Amino acid sequence: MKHKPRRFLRPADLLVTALLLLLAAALLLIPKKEASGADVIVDGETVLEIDFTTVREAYTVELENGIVISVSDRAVGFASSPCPNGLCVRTGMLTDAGDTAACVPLKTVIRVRGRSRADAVTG
Amino acid sequence: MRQITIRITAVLTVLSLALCGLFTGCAGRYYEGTSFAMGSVLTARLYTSDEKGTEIFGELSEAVADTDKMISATDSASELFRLNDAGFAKLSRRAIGLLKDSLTVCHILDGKTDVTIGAVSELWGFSTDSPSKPSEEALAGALKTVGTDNVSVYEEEKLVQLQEGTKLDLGAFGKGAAADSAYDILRSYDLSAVVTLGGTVLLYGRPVSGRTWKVAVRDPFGTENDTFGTLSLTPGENDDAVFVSTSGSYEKQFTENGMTYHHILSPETGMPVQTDLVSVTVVANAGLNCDALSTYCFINGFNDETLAKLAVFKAEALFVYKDGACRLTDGLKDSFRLTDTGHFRLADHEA
Repeated sequence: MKHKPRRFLRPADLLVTALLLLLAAALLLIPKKEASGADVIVDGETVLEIDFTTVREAYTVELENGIVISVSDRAVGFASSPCPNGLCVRTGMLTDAGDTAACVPLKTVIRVRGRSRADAVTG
Repeated sequence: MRQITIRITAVLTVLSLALCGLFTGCAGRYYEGTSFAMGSVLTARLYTSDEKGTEIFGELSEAVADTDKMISATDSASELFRLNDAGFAKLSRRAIGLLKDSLTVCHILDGKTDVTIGAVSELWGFSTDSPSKPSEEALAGALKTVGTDNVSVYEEEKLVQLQEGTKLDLGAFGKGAAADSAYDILRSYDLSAVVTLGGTVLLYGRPVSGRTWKVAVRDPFGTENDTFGTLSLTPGENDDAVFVSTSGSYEKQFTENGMTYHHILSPETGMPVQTDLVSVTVVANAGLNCDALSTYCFINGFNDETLAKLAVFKAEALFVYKDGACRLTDGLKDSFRLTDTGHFRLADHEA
């Protein structure tokens, strides 16, 4: 049986390649996913996991150490804290991936899940 | 037909691998740890497995806590507290080394950032819950105890003696020294890592998310999560790490009788330094130098003398003024990008 000489790429290959490239381009153009949730960590241990997608109404949660966390549709923050300086409350509500707020005296951190655009923040 | 299938499979495989690389390879797999040390949050993003990451983070936390136990000015169990209290103490080898390094930096910086400022900072009480402006008489008395000549280090005996009334305050060096201790841990592992302690950052190894590490600089007029620009950094030719430190008047301040006082004290006047600057960010290849230089630059301002001192340490700096103007040293001019051009602008770079 004789084989017909074949070109390296045939129309079918080109079509598949083009389709895949289009898919890749489309994936790149899709905007980065919004922050999906946040974690509350006390002394290195995650004590509260918040999933923004299931939040229907804003609510607050009181932690064992007396800190009150405020959660709304796409934001989370310290509502109140029994710590002496209240710096954590002044940080306000966090919305962006990678945002953090900390209450140092009570060793509590809120971190919005996901990667921020920068590797670190100085200041 | 079989050949086409093979070819399509090959094309698909190559492209899927490329896509996977694009979406997962860039981000890299990492372990992230959070704890508290030196009155700040310690975070480490370690590009390794969770198991290894947990182990290394444990070591990092311990190293930072050990540094704090040596130099904390408020913990009565720290080596420095004992020394300040008695005026004379036998210290650990590491504490002696750290003190000697700090004194050397103070000498190079002509005493404009000085570890012997302890008696002055104690009067202001910035590390307490109720800071207040001291009386002029008290301040004048405390200023007499400032000066590196008032410290004698007997290295062989590991003894340190302070002149009467002199107290040490390593506040301007502490987080940088802790970053150095974290660096010492990371050196024995083959990985990339980002460690932050408050505003001090250690970038270790090869950048993971691109060709350079990206460090955002906090907006001095905004909240903790507001930033106004980004530094793109890579370790120097012979280095495997970059350190970044920021000193800003917004960090600690209080208002009394209508006057606002910030915590960066001049060793010459004992008062919060009067300046048009609102923050200075320094990039260097060692943590202690980096931390001390950010305070020095804030105190001494942008001038030829400051630029010369930065050059001694092969360090670069970003100066931010109250009116939003930003000045960069030559080595950073191509590495800094303003992201908030509404409130900030790049000023001319003439001293």
